[in-house]
Amino acid sequence: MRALVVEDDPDIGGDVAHTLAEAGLGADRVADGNDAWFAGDTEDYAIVVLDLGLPGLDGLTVLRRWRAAGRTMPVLILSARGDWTEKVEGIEAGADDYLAKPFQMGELVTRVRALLRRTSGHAAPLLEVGRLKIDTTHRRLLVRDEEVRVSPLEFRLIHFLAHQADRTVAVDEIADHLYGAADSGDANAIEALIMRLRRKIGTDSIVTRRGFGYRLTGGAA
Amino acid sequence: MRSLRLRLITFAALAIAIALWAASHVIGRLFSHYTGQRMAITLTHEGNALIAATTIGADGKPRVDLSDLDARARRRASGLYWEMLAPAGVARSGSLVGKALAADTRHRVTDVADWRATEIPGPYETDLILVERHARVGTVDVLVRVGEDDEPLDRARASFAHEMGLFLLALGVALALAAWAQVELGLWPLRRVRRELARMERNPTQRLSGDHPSEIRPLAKAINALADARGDDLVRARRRAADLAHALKTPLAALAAQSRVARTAGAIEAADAIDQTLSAAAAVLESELARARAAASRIGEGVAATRPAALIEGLFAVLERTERGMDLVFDAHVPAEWEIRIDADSFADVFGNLLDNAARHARRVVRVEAEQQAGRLTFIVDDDGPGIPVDQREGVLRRGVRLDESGAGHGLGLAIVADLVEATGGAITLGDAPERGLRVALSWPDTLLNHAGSS
Repeated sequence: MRALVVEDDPDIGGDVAHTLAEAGLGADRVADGNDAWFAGDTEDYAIVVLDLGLPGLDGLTVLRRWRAAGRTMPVLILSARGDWTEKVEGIEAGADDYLAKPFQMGELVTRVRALLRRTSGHAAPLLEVGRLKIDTTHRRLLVRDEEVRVSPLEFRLIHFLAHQADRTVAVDEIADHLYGAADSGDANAIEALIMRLRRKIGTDSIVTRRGFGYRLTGGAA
Repeated sequence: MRSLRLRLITFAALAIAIALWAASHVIGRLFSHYTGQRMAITLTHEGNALIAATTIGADGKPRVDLSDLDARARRRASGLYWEMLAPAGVARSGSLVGKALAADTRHRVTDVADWRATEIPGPYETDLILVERHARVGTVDVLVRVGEDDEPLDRARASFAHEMGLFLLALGVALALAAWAQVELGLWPLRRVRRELARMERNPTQRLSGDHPSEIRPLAKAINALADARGDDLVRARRRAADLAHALKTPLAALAAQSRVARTAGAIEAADAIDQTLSAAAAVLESELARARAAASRIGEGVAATRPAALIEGLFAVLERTERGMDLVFDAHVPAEWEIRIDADSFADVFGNLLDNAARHARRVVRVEAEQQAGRLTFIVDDDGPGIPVDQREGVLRRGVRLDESGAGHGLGLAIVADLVEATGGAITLGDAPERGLRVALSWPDTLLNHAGSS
């Protein structure tokens, strides 16, 4: 497993690469946007740590080009500008996480590990329920083969329901799975979560059985 | 005189008064002149009749046959007088009762053909208009003089002067009103400039319109150029602030790297202290940057509209990827068609900080709801965390809450949000969410809303 570290500041770049190496990830370093684009496009990296303010080609453009070319490796953005517009732009360009400078190396390692955990594991077959395809390897959800962006919590819910697609799952059971322990206040949260998910994947994809719980049907294919 | 209006109107009034005074004077003179001449002409007719009615007697004295002459001349002091002077004797009208007409002349009246016209003192106190000429009657040269009282003329002149005075006064009033209207009309574009400047003050992106009169246009242009320069300064200042942040953050990150080296080398306490200071410095930097952005934030006309529904979903996408946001449900009910004229960066800063704060304290759900009511656009952000005790709510919104007081609490985030909301012309209040947790209500005037279809 190798990581790509894109950072034009040699101190920070070196430190990030060193830290990742200590965490068991060999890291390649590039300091220029064009080099980064080329490296990410031609090599398979387990993860990319991407600074936004780069010479040559800015980080967001690099990221958009990777995504447009179908590169799905997780990308963690580093940036000096901490404003929210930029964070939103970063996520919308296809970033998986965002870390504003200055950051602590411990925090970086935690985030990198979390991203790797989400995407590691052996390639699993797509789960198919109705018109939904659930790509557990890349944690992606497709509705009629179009990717729909869902939050990690939404993905966990649909993944869980997809494994129980033949039956109705009680709210308590869902809460237990998502939060580790059920709580009386969780029913509201789960209802809101289901509502949001329905808005993204279609109302008929999740059926409510009053008093029992929810069942994922995936809607009509 | 500081007022342009007063200056212009005073000058116009003065000019009108002088012009009317001169007009009355000249017209009066002309009237006098022509009425005098008119009278002189009438008198020459009488004079010619007189010459025709005169014969010279054997004694060389003139004899006048009165039958064809104006009967007034026979009555005593009637106002019409004549005399016919021949070398051998004089004939006088009955009205003179033997008196002679004065020889001296007051002043000349315009001559009529061969007749010399003058004004002379009359025999009975009033002045006369007199015409005279030499004529030959038979073989004798005579001097014919015919005069008439000018009192009716004076009366006509006085009455004319009176009526003309009234007319000129009315004219003066009309002209003064016209001058006033002209001044008002002339100053109107300046009033428009003032209105547009007031709009510019509220919204720095506004500029004066280009359709001003050509005299005002250079001024409007100069003001716009000044505003552009100021706007550029502002953009430069913002960019400098961003550059400064960038410049500061990178050494802070490098310092963090040093702290890690120190930690590896066993200097745990030193590394902890450095890390703590670094977090504080980063937080201060972030808050001051947000405040700088807030101070420069823009609202109203001319600002690209922000779609809050899309923007809030974008912020959710960011927060859902953070460690504390990963297990939360972010739920928004904001009308998708809303477009608000608050600049997107400020709006994102407000809701980013607010939702980040909510995510930090929420247990399961962060909820945003929006509605338009009573002239306001209200956004409600609820979390289901512990909330903030009533007596501390005022404090957390106050500017400049100390970092150490706010590090773990709601403090800094909400203080920044309060600044940002205020800078964009909104209001913020804290309350209780329906079941548990903190409710933050933000509101802006609904005049900032672009109506559906108008975008």
